Amino acid sequence: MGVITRAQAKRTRSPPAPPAPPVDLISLLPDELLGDIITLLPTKAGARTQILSRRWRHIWRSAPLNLDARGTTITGAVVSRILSSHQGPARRLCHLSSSPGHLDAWLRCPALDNLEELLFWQGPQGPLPPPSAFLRFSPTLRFAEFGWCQFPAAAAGGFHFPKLQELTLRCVSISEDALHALLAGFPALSSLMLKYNSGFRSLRVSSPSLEFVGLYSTGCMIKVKDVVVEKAPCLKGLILHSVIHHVRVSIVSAPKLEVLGSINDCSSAMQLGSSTVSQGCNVVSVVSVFRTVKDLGLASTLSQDEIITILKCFPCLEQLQIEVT
Amino acid sequence: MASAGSGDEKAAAAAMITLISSDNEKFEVTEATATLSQTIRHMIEDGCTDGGVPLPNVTSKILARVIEYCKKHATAAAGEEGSSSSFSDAAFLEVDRAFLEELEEFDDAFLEVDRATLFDLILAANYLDIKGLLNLTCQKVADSVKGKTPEQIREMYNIVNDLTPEEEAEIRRETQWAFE
Repeated sequence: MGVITRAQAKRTRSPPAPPAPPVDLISLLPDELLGDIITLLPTKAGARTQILSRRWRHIWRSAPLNLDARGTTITGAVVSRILSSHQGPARRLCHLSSSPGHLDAWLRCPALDNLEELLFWQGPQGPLPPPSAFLRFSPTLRFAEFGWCQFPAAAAGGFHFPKLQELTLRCVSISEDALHALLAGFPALSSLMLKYNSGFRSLRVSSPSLEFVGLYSTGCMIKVKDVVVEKAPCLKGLILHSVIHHVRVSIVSAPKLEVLGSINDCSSAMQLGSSTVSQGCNVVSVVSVFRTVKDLGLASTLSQDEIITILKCFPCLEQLQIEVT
Repeated sequence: MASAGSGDEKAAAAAMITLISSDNEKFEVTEATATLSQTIRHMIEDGCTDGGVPLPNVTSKILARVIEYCKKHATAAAGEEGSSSSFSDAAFLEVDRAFLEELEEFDDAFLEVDRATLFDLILAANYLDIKGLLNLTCQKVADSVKGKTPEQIREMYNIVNDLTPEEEAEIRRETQWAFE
């Protein structure tokens, strides 16, 4: 009794459970899920997973391609190489300063089949229409940004992207007719960002799906003079940035509008519902229209009276930002 | 002849779904919570949920976590699940700021789990087809390897490098741009 062998003594001194050999749990996930993880990595990091082990070697090539060259050393030549070696499908292609020749060839690559997100800025060669090859993504594209290109009216009317949710046009030359024809081809669009574009004086918002509209403008040749929200049952936010010239904002129907921002002194003819605020007429009917607005931005250059008149139209404001210029 | 009151109760009862884990534990959830899972949504549409929905691939421990996620996210507007954009403008997110912040806090706390649980959640999200949960959990893994060298990743996840030096050299040659 009470005799402890050396082996027993050793056992009692050792930790209660011997450490289990490390298990490689991640490699047990099916290919498809490892692919989902790789797609979420930055482009280079995703490709580097090939070198982890045999299990990982072939996964990057068949995982949905995430090719985002922004802020990396990935050159046009490398993009071409990636697109020729990857099997597709693709989640995302983002490339800035793409030359039109390159871009057209890339967009035709089978690796980009079923592309969901596309961002390209055409090079400084002058505004050219986007390569027609991008139309093949019309069934799958969800996010798009086009920079430094032009949309001829004839082409814009033929676009139909039923799944497109977010669109940014940056430094794009587009006529009023072309812009509105273009927007009509995106029945699911929820966010529209118009940044520093030229060619249209008026923006008419009439969409069953749009939730956010942003208009950034500078001293382009043709300036936006009018923003008319005709019928936007889902619109929650309308933001006008750096609008340094006269712009008239008219809102006919936007029952869900919560944020109306960056309205400066020059937009004093802001028209809400059936009335013009700056003239103070028919404020009562406006109040019923803008009960939903919670955040409002105004410029400090408005007179106190003007601010008070405008505020009367927004009885449910939670946040008021007055921009000091 | 049912009165209006009992009719309502009947409707409320009908909107509850019983989920049965692999270890035979029963979970009663609302239809709104359950249908965040496309797999279960299809079962409901096909009318195959009487007597409960058996989920032989999900343990009660994981199912409880998945239900916790679904309950929280079911309050989010349908359709917003899993839609994350790389281009969206921060200014616009202001609209639902408070709500999104709360949801983000929930998600962060939700992901505070050990690695084995995280992988089980990924497998469950995939099997139940819950896009938001799958994105969230895969993103957690992706974030954990971002900025790490292959050697660091192997060490972190106990991956054994079984490539020959020749095979490694070949991969580096083929994908040189990724290693620059």
